[in-house]
Amino acid sequence: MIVAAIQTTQAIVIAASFAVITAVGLYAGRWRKADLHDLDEWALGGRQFGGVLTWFLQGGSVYTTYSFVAVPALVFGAGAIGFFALPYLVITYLVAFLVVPRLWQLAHDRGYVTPSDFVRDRFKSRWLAAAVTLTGIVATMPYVALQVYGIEICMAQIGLPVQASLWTAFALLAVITYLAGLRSATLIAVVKDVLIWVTVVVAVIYIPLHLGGYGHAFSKVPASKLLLPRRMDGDYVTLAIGSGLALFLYPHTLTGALASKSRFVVQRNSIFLPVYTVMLGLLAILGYMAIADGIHPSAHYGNNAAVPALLDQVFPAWFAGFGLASIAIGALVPAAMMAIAAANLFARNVWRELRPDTSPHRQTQVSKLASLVVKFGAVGFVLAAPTTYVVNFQLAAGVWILQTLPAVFVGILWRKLPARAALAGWTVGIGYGTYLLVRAGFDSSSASFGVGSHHTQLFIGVPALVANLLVTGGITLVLRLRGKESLQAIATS
Amino acid sequence: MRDLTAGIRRRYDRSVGQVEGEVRSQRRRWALFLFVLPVVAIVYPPLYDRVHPTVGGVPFFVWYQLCVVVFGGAVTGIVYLLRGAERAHAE
Repeated sequence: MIVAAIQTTQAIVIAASFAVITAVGLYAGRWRKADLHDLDEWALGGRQFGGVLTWFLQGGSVYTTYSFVAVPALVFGAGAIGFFALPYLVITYLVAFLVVPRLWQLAHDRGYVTPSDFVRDRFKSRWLAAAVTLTGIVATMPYVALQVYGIEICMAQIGLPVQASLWTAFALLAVITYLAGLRSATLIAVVKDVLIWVTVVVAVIYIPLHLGGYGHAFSKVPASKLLLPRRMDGDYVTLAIGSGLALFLYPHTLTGALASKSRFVVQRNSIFLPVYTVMLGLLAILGYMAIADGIHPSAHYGNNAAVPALLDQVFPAWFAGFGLASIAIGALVPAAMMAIAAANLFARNVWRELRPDTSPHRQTQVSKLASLVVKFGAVGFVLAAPTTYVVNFQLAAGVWILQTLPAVFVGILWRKLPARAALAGWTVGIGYGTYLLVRAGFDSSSASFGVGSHHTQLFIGVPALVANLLVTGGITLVLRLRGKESLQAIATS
Repeated sequence: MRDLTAGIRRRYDRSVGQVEGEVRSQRRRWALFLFVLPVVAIVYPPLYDRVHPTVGGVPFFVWYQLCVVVFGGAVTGIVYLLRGAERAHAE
């Protein structure tokens, strides 16, 4: 294998794919034409998407570089623990079915665009809304950076100059999103899905044949990687539950759900989105295939380059280019959605909070500009910071965003939750979670817990959430016992 | 000013009440308990943390969880259909 120079065929295929999505993205501005100065139109596509488009769009927000690159890399490097992504998404869709439709209804009736809009309106608490906004922005930024990183790996795999290609990719994305908003992410998500499904189906058939069948391929994987290591059961389950509860707390996944035309679309998608999870499972298996094929961790990107390297090594050049393009574009869609969602948080819950007289058009303008800052900020961060930072901040983001669960999910399900309790819980959850992350050296999201001699690894987000919920519950109880402090009293405080 | 906020709050309560009232009046609340099934299936890894039996060379650990993913979607579909009466009114 020659990696010395740019692999021309792959580069041409990738360039062609980017040309196609640029055209599609620009067309999106005219598709279902509406006034794109309206935030509902720019940021939520007019809240009008039916089942099929929402399926593509939500698929684009749930399945990201994390699924296409990081999960197979985890299987490649650490083995069975990487499959936590499967139970994680089982939990995710239960949440999506039970909680998100109610939020959709409230958002529809009351014009919410972000989770913080809901918190601000329901609790009438600036501080709680500010906490949720801050967490949302801080947690989304590393997630965008992870998408940039995914594209970087694909570009580097075929020897393209990393800086130039990343800036080009994100300049294109920025122009498209600025002009067409969520409509562009939706249409690109459709194209991306065609690419990624073709890649995955071909890969899971062709690669095992190439390696002499699944049985033979799996026999080359060290036995220790096929099962969970001892005492990792707790880690596995808490990762699944914690991540599953957290996913729909991220602002961009909510953006995908709010763009649908009815809460029943959201419910029905919880039935059909698991189809993507099966695809993700198949991709995770490719992590094992990379081991069987003798792929070595890359000098620069470590295990994360495993699947891109596998595609590049196994397939003819043109199809390798196709596969790498699908992973890169699979990162662009969520990057666009995250940038839009983070920008909305800024425009509605920071800017408008500070300048209540901002007109709706001006709000959209602020949001559009903020989305540019998010994208280029992420590219700058990835190019400037050591790559381990990207992955580690993403892990920490998962811990932090989970701490907004009482304010958002409990707030939706139970109206009497006092803002003060949720805010105290958030403070404790963030504090304890961050303490545990720092103690773990900030490069792992799990830590050892136990009583006496019985110790187990757990995903830090979950004990932090437990502390959060205990405080939230305790303070709620005290407030209610202390004299029936009703929602009104808190609302006016 | 106070009247204004009270008015907003009343409207808010009404809109929330509508949603929650509607959700409460949904048929067959017991159907939600079906969601326990996929959770139970994955919540205790020692249950499925093994290689054999393999299917077409794929370890049990992997294919079992892929099956649970599909099962979870199916259970969600069943719950959706069981609670379907309210949907007809709303749409």
